[in-house]
Amino acid sequence: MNPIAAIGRVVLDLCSAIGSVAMFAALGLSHAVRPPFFWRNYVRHFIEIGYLSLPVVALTTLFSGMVLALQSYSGFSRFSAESAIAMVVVLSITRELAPVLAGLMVAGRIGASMAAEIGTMRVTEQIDALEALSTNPYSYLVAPRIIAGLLMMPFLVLVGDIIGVMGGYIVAVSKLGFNSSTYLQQTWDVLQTEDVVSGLTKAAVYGFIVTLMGCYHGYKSTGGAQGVGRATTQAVVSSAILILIANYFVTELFFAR
Amino acid sequence: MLRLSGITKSFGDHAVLRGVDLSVEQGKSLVILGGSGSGKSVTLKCIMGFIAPDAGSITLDEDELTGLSGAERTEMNRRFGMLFQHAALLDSLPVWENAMFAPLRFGKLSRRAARREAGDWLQRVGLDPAIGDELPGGLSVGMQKRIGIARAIAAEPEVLLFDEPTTGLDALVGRQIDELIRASIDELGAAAVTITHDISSARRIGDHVAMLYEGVIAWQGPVANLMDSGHPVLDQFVHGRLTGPIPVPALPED
Repeated sequence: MNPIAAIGRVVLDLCSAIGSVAMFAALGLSHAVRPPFFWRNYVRHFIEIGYLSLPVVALTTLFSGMVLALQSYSGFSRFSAESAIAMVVVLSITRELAPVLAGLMVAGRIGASMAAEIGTMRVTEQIDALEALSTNPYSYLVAPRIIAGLLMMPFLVLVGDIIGVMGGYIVAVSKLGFNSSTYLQQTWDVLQTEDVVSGLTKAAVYGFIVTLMGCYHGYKSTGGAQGVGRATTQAVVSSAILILIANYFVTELFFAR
Repeated sequence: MLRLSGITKSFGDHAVLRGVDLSVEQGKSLVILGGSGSGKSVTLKCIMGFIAPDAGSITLDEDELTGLSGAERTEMNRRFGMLFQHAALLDSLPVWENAMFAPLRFGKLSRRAARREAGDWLQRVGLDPAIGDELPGGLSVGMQKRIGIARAIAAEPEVLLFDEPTTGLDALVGRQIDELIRASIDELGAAAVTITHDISSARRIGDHVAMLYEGVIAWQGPVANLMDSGHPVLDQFVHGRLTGPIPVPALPED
């Protein structure tokens, strides 16, 4: 094939995919603000994302905070800057680590399960059955998941922030010999509202990305079990990539001067 | 009355439907026969609005069904009930909620009342109300189809559609499902369209039969004439002859 034509084909395919995802997102969100509202589905996904993902997010952020304290101590002690550990831990956790790690963990846990569930519903005609029962699949399946992702991810990250900072505190006090109240005071002094808000904003964006990708790839899956497997992989991979890309832009939005 | 006029549908260069004309009155049952790939499922999907025909008209009484917006079609589907080939029950909902999905969805019943009434509907389709709290994934295909029938008729629709209702069932369960379908049509007075390649099932369910072949209705008439229509395509199909106008791929020798 002519290389120019090949590049053109790739660009057109990319534009088509972006348009398709944008249309899907618009439809999903539009059905979140107009009746009918399937409240039981909303509650189910709020619990699924916000409550059942807590252990995995808590473990991830706890150990990340602990590792961060150890690594910072190891590095900062070379130029006698150990007192900056509390600042490094709290800023890294709230601004970056908690939202990104929670986003990636939720992409693996929730994004994959959404793609698999909706994909299976697609290939077993359950989505057609919903339409036959006068029920818009965007209202029933997509809107509750996207709204749950948007609202519950910030909650998860807020919990992750607290647990991650606690992980750093545990290591700093119990292993590195920091004074407990000094460490907490330093943490509190350096923390600003903007740090937490930027992390929570990232969390909302990631929650949207993860649920959108899970729903989109599941909804568009074709080709039986193999197609569902492919949709699941695509949901996780695309979520992870988009989270990392979005991370830069949200960071720039808050912190670029 | 449900009426299809001049329905055509192509996928790429492949014309699946090439001008299908059919009609079925309230209280009557039309069975569409045809081999694999003859366009039966596409016809049903056009009626349900899952795919849009390229040309032609589908009307229910005076209402045109083609060209409706998504919201209009969703509303229109309240007048339809459908049994899917593999039942397509929502596997995250218990049996009773599947059966009562439409009345709950349209606010005809509270959840408490629907739960109570679900037992009656399950009994009507020959199931033990005690399975109401089970999830459908653990049930047999025959049970799932019965629940699918309960779901289709619980909203008391004007049109009932059945997609290969006896596929995957043994002869006895298949016969029970056919009788259940026939009883449901008679009880509701609905216009019914069934697609199948099961001749026995067609004879039990149908008042009229249409043979779909190469994208057009090759023959249609009362079910009483099904076995001796004199039409070469239908005769070959219903009697299972390997020779005739319908090409049958030859098996390799030895």
